[in-house]
Amino acid sequence: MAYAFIAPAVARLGLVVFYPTISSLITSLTDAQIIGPRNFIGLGNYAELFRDPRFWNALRNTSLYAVVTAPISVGLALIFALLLNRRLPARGVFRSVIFFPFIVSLGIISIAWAFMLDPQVGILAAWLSEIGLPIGNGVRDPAWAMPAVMVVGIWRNTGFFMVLYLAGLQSIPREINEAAEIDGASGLRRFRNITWPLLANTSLFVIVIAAIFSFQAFDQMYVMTSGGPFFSTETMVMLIYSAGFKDYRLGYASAVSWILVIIVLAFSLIQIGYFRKKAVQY
Amino acid sequence: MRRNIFVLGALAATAALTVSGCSGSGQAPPANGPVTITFWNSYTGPDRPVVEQIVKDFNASQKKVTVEMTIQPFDVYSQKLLPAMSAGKGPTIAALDASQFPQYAKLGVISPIDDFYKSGAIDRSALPQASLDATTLDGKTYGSPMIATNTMLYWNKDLFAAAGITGPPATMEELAVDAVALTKYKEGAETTNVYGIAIPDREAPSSWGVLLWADGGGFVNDARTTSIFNSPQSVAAITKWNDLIQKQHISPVGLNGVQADSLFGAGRAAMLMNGPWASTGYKTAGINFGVAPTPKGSAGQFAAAVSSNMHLAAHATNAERQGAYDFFAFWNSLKVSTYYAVNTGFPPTRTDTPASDLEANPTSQAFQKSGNGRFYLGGLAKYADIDANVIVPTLQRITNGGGDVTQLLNKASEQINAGLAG
Repeated sequence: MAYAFIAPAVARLGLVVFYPTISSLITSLTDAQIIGPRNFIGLGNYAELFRDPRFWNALRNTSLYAVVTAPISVGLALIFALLLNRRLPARGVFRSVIFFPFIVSLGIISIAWAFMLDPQVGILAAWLSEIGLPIGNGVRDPAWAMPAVMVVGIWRNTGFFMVLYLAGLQSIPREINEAAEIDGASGLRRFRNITWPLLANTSLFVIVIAAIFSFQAFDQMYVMTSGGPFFSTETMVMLIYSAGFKDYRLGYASAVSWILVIIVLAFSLIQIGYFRKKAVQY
Repeated sequence: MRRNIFVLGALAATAALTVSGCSGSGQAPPANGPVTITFWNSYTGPDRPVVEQIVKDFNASQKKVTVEMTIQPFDVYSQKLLPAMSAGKGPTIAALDASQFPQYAKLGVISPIDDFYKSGAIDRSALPQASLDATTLDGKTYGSPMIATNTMLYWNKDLFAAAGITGPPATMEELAVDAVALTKYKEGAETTNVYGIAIPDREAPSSWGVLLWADGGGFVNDARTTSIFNSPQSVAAITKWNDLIQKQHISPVGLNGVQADSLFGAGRAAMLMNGPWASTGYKTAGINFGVAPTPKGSAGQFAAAVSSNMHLAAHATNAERQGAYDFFAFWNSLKVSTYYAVNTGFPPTRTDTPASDLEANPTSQAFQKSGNGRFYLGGLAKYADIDANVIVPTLQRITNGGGDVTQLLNKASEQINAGLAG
């Protein structure tokens, strides 16, 4: 009887999660193309990717993107959440404005940013130029392409993390802060000893999600830079897309995907282990 | 009992969920009855209503064949088409760019249509030879023309007049001199600078190809067996134009097709090599422009050929094949090809169309005279790989001052040769 109840969920999970996962692992051990026979080549794809400078370039770009965007977007989200958890005029408007980018498709956002940042005809480029901050060749400059796609990623995700932090802040019992205030604790001290430790569970979730978002970065690079100039913004997901859907090398693309899975899993486990130790409950 | 019925219901729902994704919906057409054929393409632009009207007219013109057309955005289409066709679930007719066709032909998912041309349903000699060549592999012709044009040089008459230049350049030397004279560049003023020409490096008909071919350079040899991207002629041409870009700032670096279009449409680039589809946007933007043949160089005058063709799926039945042939002949009839040309600005696919029939659309008339088109990386099964992974990044590296031109072209040629061999 119990099996009958869980059968629909198991079937769905099996079809859309477990089957593709195992299938991609098997594919990564073959020379599969989009059409034609697939031959088992063992770890051949993995050996190839470790020799492929483009893989290392994509791994470097992805790591750089994650190291910069995840902490900044989480930090900004926490600051906004702390500010907007107070009684402020038009607090709802500010919360909505910051959250808004997250509910719009990242592809659409990226098209808008690409036009705004266009060095020759972009409105943002023109405004910055007016105030003496020309952006040169903008996203078409290899030195500025990565910072530009990072800004879009941070701008997009900060609102979502802010909402998660706001929920975390509102779950902290008010009387704990009030008691500390009566005892003469400063705002900074209250944050350090009460708010931050009690936000540990929220932080765990936000940081793990931020890291996963960063490792999945694709949309803004695809739209704004096509991974260029000369691969300077090509991330691992872009490489997977390029190998799988442009070059039709499904085996190789699956191998890169599995390396990405292992990296994300490892990061997530480390973060979970660290924050579990930090979790505090009163 | 009720509990058992509920359990059975849950299991049945699960089974239905599992099986629904696997079931097909195909129904075999009745023998000798009307046949329905499917036609996929990515004509999402301003020419969409024209294509839709032609299909509607074809369906209304006879009762034997019904064409059901699906139009999808290009990126969705290009990702979906090959997997669908390789699984035998794709359309009867697929529109493919000439650069995409070799891969499909080599994978065996599209069928040769020599019997269509032999049947006399259409006069092969009245079709654009470049399109027929571009869809011929190992002596077999796989495609029926849908659109065929070459790029021309758009020039902004107001910017030319302001610079005191009376007409468009006829030679590559004049192009270089005019581009420098038309450029009004100031460091840090990218948002107001005016550029002599917009040279995109990707997602556009190849401007670099025109610059290289004119002076004897190129990407691969005519036999498609080896790279000529590092030939002395290619190195000389790329060095020359790269110097003009980097030192004289005749074009911004790293433009894609849309950005180059925007720049010309904003009156901020005086010249651009492009196809007829762009003219409507420039007119709407109020640009006072002319079109001229691409300039000739020491090796001749060349333009980038753009060709999209209709291809028949290998899995088509005999009835579907015949239906597709009827549609190919209808599309390439004098009347329909003129209708398409007049309403889109493209030249007609029929080379025997009198110019006077195109009077209603001067752009179409002008592009009918565009000549000597060459296909950028034409006939290469690894077109997408070589374009996106070798040529575009190499040109971007060069124009960003990322290394010695000869060394970068030598390295790119090694990669191209590896791609040609593989």
